[in-house]
Amino acid sequence: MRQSERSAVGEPSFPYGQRRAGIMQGVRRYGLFYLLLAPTFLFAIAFYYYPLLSGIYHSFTYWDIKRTVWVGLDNYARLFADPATAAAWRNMALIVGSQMIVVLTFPLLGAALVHHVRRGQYWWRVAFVLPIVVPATVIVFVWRWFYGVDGGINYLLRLVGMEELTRAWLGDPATALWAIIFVGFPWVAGLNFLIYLAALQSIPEEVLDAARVDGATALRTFFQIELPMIRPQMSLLLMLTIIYYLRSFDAPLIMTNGGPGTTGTLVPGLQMYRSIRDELDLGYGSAIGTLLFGVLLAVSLLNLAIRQRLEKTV
Amino acid sequence: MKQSIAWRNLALWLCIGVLALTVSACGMVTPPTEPPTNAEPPATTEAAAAGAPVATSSSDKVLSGELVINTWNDITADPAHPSYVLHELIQQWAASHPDVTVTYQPMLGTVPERFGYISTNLRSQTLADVVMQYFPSPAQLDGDLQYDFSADLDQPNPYSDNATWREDFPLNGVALRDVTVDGKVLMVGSTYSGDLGDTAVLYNKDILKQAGVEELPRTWSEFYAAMDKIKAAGYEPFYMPTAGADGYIFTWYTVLLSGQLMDDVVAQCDGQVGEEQDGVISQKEAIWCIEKGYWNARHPGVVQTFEEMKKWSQYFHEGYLAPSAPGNLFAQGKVAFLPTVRLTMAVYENDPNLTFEWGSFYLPALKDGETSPRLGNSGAGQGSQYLFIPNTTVDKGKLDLARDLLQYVTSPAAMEYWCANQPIPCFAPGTPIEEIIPGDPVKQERYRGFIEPPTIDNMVARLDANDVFGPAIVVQENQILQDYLAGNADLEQTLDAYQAFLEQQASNILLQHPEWNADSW
Amino acid sequence: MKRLHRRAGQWVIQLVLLMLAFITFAPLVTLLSLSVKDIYQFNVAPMGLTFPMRFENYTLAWKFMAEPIWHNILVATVATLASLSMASISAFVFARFRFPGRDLLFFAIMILLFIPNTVLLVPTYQLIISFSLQNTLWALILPYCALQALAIVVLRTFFLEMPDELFDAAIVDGASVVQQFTAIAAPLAKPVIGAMAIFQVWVIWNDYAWPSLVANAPQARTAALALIVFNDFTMPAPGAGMAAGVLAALPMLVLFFATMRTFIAGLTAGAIKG
Repeated sequence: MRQSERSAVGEPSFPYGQRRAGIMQGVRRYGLFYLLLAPTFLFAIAFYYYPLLSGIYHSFTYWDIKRTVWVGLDNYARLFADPATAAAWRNMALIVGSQMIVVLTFPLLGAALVHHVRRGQYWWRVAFVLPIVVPATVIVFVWRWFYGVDGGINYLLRLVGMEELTRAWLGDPATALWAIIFVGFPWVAGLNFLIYLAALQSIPEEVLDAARVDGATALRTFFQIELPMIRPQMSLLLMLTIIYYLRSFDAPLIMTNGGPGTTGTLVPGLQMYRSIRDELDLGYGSAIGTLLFGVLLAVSLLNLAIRQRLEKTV
Repeated sequence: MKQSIAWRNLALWLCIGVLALTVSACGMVTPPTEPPTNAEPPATTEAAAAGAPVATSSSDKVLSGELVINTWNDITADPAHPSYVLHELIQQWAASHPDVTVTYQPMLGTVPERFGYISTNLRSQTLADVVMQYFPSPAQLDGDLQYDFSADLDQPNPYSDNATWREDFPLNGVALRDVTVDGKVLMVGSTYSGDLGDTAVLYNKDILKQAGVEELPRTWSEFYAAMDKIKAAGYEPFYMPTAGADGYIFTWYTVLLSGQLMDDVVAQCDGQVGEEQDGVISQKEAIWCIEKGYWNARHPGVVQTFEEMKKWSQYFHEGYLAPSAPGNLFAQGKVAFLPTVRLTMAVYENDPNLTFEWGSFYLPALKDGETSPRLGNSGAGQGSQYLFIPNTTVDKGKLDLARDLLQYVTSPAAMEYWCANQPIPCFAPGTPIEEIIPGDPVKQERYRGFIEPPTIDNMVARLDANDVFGPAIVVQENQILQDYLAGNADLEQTLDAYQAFLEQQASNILLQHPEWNADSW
Repeated sequence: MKRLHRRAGQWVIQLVLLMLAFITFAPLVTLLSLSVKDIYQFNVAPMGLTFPMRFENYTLAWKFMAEPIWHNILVATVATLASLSMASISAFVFARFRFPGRDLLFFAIMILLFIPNTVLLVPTYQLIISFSLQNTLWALILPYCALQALAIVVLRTFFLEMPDELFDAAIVDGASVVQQFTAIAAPLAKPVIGAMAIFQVWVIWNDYAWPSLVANAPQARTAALALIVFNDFTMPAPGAGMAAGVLAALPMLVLFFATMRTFIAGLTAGAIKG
């Protein structure tokens, strides 16, 4: 349609009326813009800017809804003194690291295969999108059953005579965290898959044709041409994965509540969540939240800086 | 002209967003106007089913209005559940006050979640008009935010012939003792005997027989010997969830062990900081005890509790460190012993899949020749089903209404009705079970553990994290112990973690109670 | 020779995809099969089909899940409508007009993309509590209405790229800002707005932590939350618990099959934020 034949993107247009307007009319015209933006900003202030400042402020207080007491750096002192904090960040690092490897392999493999399959490409795509539609909670719920003592995994192990491998996957400190990382195996279906696929499909045919004429095998074409061309998407997804798993805690919350033990599957987000739900200690929760925010901000800025440098060198 | 059109359009467009919000959500958002969630038809329709009121008011005040009650569970759901009788009593009361409507808002969730619900909403002043709950914890009581019944208790109850309302509570009002803080009575107990919060251990008789356990263990070493035999026979000895929805069971058994090992600390801390010396540790006494170092992780009682738990854990069911999976191992005949609460007995009594013979017993004492203290949040047979009124109800002008309901359900006539409709009749602590359930050996066997040994003068002293910090926070204690049981932490690390936990929680509680003047301790 | 080679390659691709799909779908298929088992079948033969199928599990689960699913539909619809109405008009204003402070304001919206709601969990919770909105649907609707940054950024780009000529005639006719938006911009942006809306619904439907904190009561519980409460607290027959899982997923599946193309577009656009 019309969007496709768009003109060069320049400065936004200006209504003629505005140029002719007098001062009073101008003020009114501007006023209208601000008024139209007001609802958006009302919500942004109420649910982003105010909470952000409030959270930072209250991280220096004991805050249990009923009363607020200024305690200075106590919450941070407690946070850094608690061995659970270090363990939570270690767990998170392990999760983030694993998911970084995952995001660069399985969804890419899936997308590449679907991209190159000749028959039924559409249906394969739908098949690998479908599981995303199932709410994450349901997925985690099913996997929780699989990990149970009488769950699916142990049942299958017994079936093939590997009785000695059976265990309470979520109750064993050696396996609980890995069990949570393995939720969703083989991780093909997902947003990552969609982004890879879109990237692969946007590679111009001519580039690939040229390679084929040169007699390159499919594998070589993939590694030498397609892979380098989707590198921006890979770095984007890597970044998004890091940011997502820095803060995500639904799976440990639903499956183990951070256990077994004090640190089995604890992550900082869950530590924060539990400080509210179990302890009503909102000040401590704010301190964890503020720390998380600081780290996220640092990661985002680092990412921005790296990208800018990369763009300059290119 | 064009300007005005613009403005009108603007107004229109802005309204779309705002109206979309208000109009479409308004009716559904405010809780009282949404009948289906409460699973409860208007009070009057069900009143007939509940029967006529068992007591009538001597006061001629006409009551009217709407009363919303937060209930611990959906008390209308299961007529076999003991709490259903409370539902009947409430409906009787509503029937005798035609201008009153009653709505329920069940709380649901795990035990810690429900305590969180009560604490949060109490502090944010969003609880219903009346709150019904089990297992009140000293940690949740708040004299600033809950209505104090003490003045009313000295007045007569219009539904009773006694001189004061206080006299309506049997056994010298023992039900009120643990919910009294600084002379303020913050809750009233609606049930009286045969504490629904009592714990006992169910046993599968078939498994015991197969394992060659002829008699129920009477000492701690016999208990271990029995579990050894059961294990050797290929069954799981003891179901002990340490996490998830029933993780509180593990907490309770930790309390049971430590309750037998810390008498000297209790003696030191009971009656301090102006509190009564009554054999029960209040939250204030406990915090003083931590601050002074009498209650600390290195106390031999604490150490022994942890070590005993570790020894015991080799008999726990497989996967006891993970939240329990669906399905009941006891009902499936896989586990010999299952600790439970009397509140949930209906689940087992009415389960058609329980094809084996079973009964209940109370765990023997750690030391031979002693009686193990009774556990259950309140003990002493005073019941554990409580009701309280948040101060917000008073602000709403509904105090008369709410208090009248509470007076009705705690009147002697209502108590009689309650007792007559319980799975087992009410009894005075110490009554032999053969007299309580005469001529029914099967039922006697099933309930014995909840009734013997008797509760009176034989309760845990409440010097434990569960009572002092509350069931929500105690999840941390469970997890500290889990680390030890799983071998992730040695005893020293575990005790360090436990000490840090005690101190942290104590300092938070001190911040909550500036009126204690802890600096002067 | 080469063609043979290539055809063999295709077979390998199909085979690997089939394997991946099999593992991907295995848990979901297991969920379906578990949801029609009675307690005996559940314990003895958890994997694979067993007969007779116990559809009464669904009746049981529906009793508990109906209300929460309705809550979720309500919350998702209201919040998405409201947030996208606000976001699209803001995006339009940002894209097509110049006024003092515009770039600064837009920047203020942009950086919201870098503030995940999770880190604001505590203060937002406090905000909801202090207005006594917990355990009402408002506790969900209002914060979800604030999810606008992504839509504004995406839609602004779209409006920015619209040719000026589209608006010229309308401006000569004296159309107001709002008229330009409603008559010209919004209709053309429909597919984009639709995609963003679907993404929003998806995000809301997926949320667990926030509702579990502020809406854990029967009058406001959402489907994901109800699934966990139903299983962990009410201790239903295990099959019924699984049936509740199927029910919780059903509305999104229906939405997916009804709007497949838009759905995929929405997820792809939304994934950029993640």
